[in-house]
Formats: sequence, structure tokens, C-alpha cells
Amino acid sequence: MSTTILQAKDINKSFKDPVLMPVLHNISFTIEKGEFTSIIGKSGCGKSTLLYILSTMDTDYTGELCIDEELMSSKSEKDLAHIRNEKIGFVFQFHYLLNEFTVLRNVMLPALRLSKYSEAEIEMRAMKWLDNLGIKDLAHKKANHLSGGQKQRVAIARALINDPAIIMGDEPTGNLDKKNSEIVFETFRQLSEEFKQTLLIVTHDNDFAASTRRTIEMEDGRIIRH
Amino acid sequence: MDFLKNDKRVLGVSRKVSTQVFFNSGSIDITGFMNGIDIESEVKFYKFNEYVTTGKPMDLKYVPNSIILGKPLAQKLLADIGDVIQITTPQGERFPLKVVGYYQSGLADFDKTQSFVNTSTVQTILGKPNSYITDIQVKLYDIKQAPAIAKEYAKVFDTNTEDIQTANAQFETGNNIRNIISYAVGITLLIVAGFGIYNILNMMIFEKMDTIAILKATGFAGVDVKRIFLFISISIGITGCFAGLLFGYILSSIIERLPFETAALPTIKTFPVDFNPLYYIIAIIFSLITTFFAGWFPARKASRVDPVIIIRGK
Ligand SMILES: Nc1ncnc2c1ncn2[C@@H]1O[C@H](COP(=O)(O)OP(=O)(O)OP(=O)(O)O)[C@@H](O)[C@H]1O
Ligand SMILES: [Mg+2]
Repeated sequence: MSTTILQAKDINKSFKDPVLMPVLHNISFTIEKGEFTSIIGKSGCGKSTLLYILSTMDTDYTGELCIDEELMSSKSEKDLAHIRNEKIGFVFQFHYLLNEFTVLRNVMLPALRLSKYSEAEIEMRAMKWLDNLGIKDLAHKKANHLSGGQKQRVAIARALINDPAIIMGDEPTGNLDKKNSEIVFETFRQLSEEFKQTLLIVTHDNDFAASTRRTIEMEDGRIIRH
Repeated sequence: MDFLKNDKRVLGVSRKVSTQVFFNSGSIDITGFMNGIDIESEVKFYKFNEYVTTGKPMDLKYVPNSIILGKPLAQKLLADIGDVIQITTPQGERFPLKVVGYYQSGLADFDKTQSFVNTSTVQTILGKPNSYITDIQVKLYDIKQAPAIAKEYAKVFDTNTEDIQTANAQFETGNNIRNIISYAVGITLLIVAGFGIYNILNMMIFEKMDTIAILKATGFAGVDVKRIFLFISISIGITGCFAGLLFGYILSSIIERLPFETAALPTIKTFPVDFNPLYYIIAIIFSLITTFFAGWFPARKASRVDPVIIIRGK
């Protein structure tokens, strides 16, 4: 039996720039637990915009969004932050680690915010994920001393720390060379297969998209295939 | 007398008999005043002993026909401790008195003419009964009530009264102006420091936009971000506050040891410094309030950063 992790219904969004410009048209789809989905489409078709809405960071849209069977619209900024903290792991194109902290601390941070576990337990869990992703020996390095590929894997570990319902990525390999991209893709595949992690990744890499179980293709703010 | 002593607002009462006298020094006479005082209550309520720079004040009571002279007056009379000087009353009677101490209030003009003896000595010299009194000094628990009580006593006893505020009006205005100036300087400095912290935090938020965006994307709410920046500003405030207090304390300790001699204040040899803890508490409270407000506005700005704009802007 499968459960729905994410459900989008008739999501519309327009920018005022300076005239009203519709970017997303009636986006509707669902993602089941354990699914590994990629989103592809031409540059400017609205992939990032959609992902910011799905991740609850952007609240300026019409339509319905349910995460873990909970309706997101009409929730307060504070509640949404809590949902992001608990249920969504986000991996950006640019690595976005906190340079003033160590790798370990970066990974621990969302869990410290959630404070479901004690600090010692959080540290153990963080080390476990760093180990799973093969970067355990980097744990005590400062975040800005890492290579791009290493940083992105740390970001993935951070996204995983609270056992999120879904991990979203906006071109997480967009800024990496071929070899590092491979490593990151491999990491996602491993998460999907080994840990049955639900993943939703925006990408430009068609080979990678083809290797995921499901691909959503967008064009001019509409879903043309899923 | 008893009426005054029983008044609950009154701390102490001392009687005084004053008269004009001539101090005889060889062939010349020096005009001056002789104050007959109740030495015990003067010492108790008015710290008379602090003004007696040489000799023992209590000798006025124990040595019969003794006198304490203003120091400049004694110098003019060439009178040492233990010497006997001659005085003449307005009625023309002469009296020998033994010098037992020097008095120095710091007001040279005052010291040049004043002398102190026991109340009974003046009464004897003047040939008056021991109920004869010219002044009564009343010390209150609450100095602020003085003008009101002075008026009240004037009515009750049908006599002249003067409150300390009127008597020292000039001193009070000077004091007030000094206070206003020092508080104005203090507040100006705090405002300047406050803007300093405000600017530091504003710059910091500008630099840390990415950090704020990540925090928000990973589940920190606006209030959490605000709390972090308020915490930073309060930390700056507390550190600065205690560093400032310590530095200020050290500085005032040094100043307190610097020699400061003036004829006007004979009992003071070094700079007078008031180490009242109240001043330190006021400093702590005001500096923390300043840093709180200096931190509040940047922190609020940080809490409103939209992560989407920052992430997209990369
Ligand atoms: N803040 C904004 N104001 C106005 N228009 C915007 C804004 N942000 C994005 N857009 C427009 O919305 C459209 C979709 O942008 P979006 O970033 O979602 O595209 P994308 O599919 O992620 O492209 P890419 O593959 O290059 O990342 C674009 O045409 C873009 O110009
Ligand atoms: Mg994009």
C-alpha cells in the first residue's frame, strides 16, 4: 500500500514584472512514498518556481498543496518553517553550507532546531549519515574548505538528518563537473534504493532523468508528461 | 526644644548661641563671631569633628573656658594650641580663653572670623541664663521636607526659620547643572554607541544573507532568526557593558588617588569620587536598553529576509 507524500492541485502562479506574467498553469500531480521523481524542462519554464512553492518557501500562489496529507495553504510562517524542518530536505544548486561551522555542525543544525533527539544522539545520527555518504572523515573540517562535490554531499546529509518525508533538489549537480555529478546522482540512487527515500529532483541532465523511476516534463509552466 | 525632639521627622536638634566678639591681638582687635555650641550633638549630627583639623573637638566640653579658632583667625592672632587668648564682648568685658583646636571649613572668609566654644561659656561671658539661645539647628530624616517644615515651624514658634535649600541655593543650582551636563554627555555617548551596534548588525545581516536563507530553508522561522541576531546584539551589549564598567572603575580608582588640594576643601586631599553602586546599576540598565533597541531593528529586518529571493539570486 502506498501513501501520498505530496499532492499538488491546480497550482497557479504569476509574477508582476511589471505586468502580470503567468509562470505556472494548473499544475497538478502527486508523489507517492518511496518514489524517485525527476523534473525536466527548458530553462525558464518554471521548474525552480514550482519547487520553491512545493518546499513551502514561496506562499504566493493559488491552488492546493498537501504534504504528508496536510494542507499547506493558510498555515502561518512559523508552522511552515516547522514543516520544512521536519518533513522536507532541500538541496540547492549552490552548496549553501554555513561556512562558519564545521561539516558536522552543518549537518546537525536542522536536527538541533527540531530537537527531537539529544545533542549527543543528533551527533551520532549525523555521523551515521556522513558515513553512509562516504564523507565521514570530513566531519570536523570547516565547511568552506571542501570541494564542490563534497559540499553537495554534506548538503544531502543535512537534508537527511531529520528523516524527511521528501527530499527536493533544484539542479543539485548544476554546478558540478561530470565526475562529481555522477557521485551525487549515485548518492540519490542509493538513498532511493537502500533507504526508500522519496526524492524530487529538478535536473537538466537527461541521462540522469531517464534513470529515475518517473520523470515529469514541463514546458511553459505546464506539465506535458508525467 | 522637646517639641522639636519629639517630632518624628526630626533626626536631631542642636542649640547654638552666637555673639559678635573682638579678638585681642596685641594692640589691635579683630572682629569675629563666637558660636556657643552643644559639641556632642554637633559632632553627632553635623560631623563637626571632621572640620577640626588640629586638636580634639571634645576638649570644648572637658577643658573649661576653651575655644576652637578658625585656622586663618588663629594664624592672625599668632595663637598656638594651648595658648590663652583674650576676647572682648560687645559690652566691653574681657575674657581669657584657652585655644584647644583649629577649625577649617574650607570657606576662607568664614574661617577668618569664626570661633567655637561651649554653649555655657558664651552664656557666662554674656552674663545670660543657660536658657539663652540664638539659633536652633534642626536636622531632618528627609532633607526634601526642609522648606515645608521650616515654614511650619516659623508659624508655630513665631520666629525666623531658614531651610537648607534656601541657605545653599547657589550650591544646589551648580550641582543640578553639573548633573544635567553629565547625564547629557552619557546619553549622547550611549546613542552614538547604539548607532555603532546598529550599523555593525546591519552590515552583518547584509553579509550573512546566505546564512539567513539557509537557516530559513532548513526550517528556522523568522522569530528564530530574530532571536539569533538579538542574542548577538545583547552579547555585544553585555560584553561592552562590563568591559566599560571595569574600565570606568579602574579609571575612577586612579583618579581617586590623584592629589587634589584646594584651600576651599581642607579635608579632601585627593579627587573625590563617588563609587555608589547605583551609578553602576544605572549604567548597566541604560546600556542594555540601548543595545536591545540597536539590535531590535536589524534583527527584525533579518527575520523578514525572503529565502526564495536569496536562493534565486545566486
Ligand atoms: N522574481 C521574479 N520576478 C519576475 N519573474 C520571475 C521571477 N522569478 C522568476 N521569474 C520568471 O519566471 C520564469 C520561470 O523561472 P524559473 O526560475 O522557475 O525557471 P527554471 O525552469 O527554473 O529555469 P532554469 O532551468 O534556468 O533554472 C522565468 O521566465 C523567469 O524569468
Ligand atoms: Mg531553476
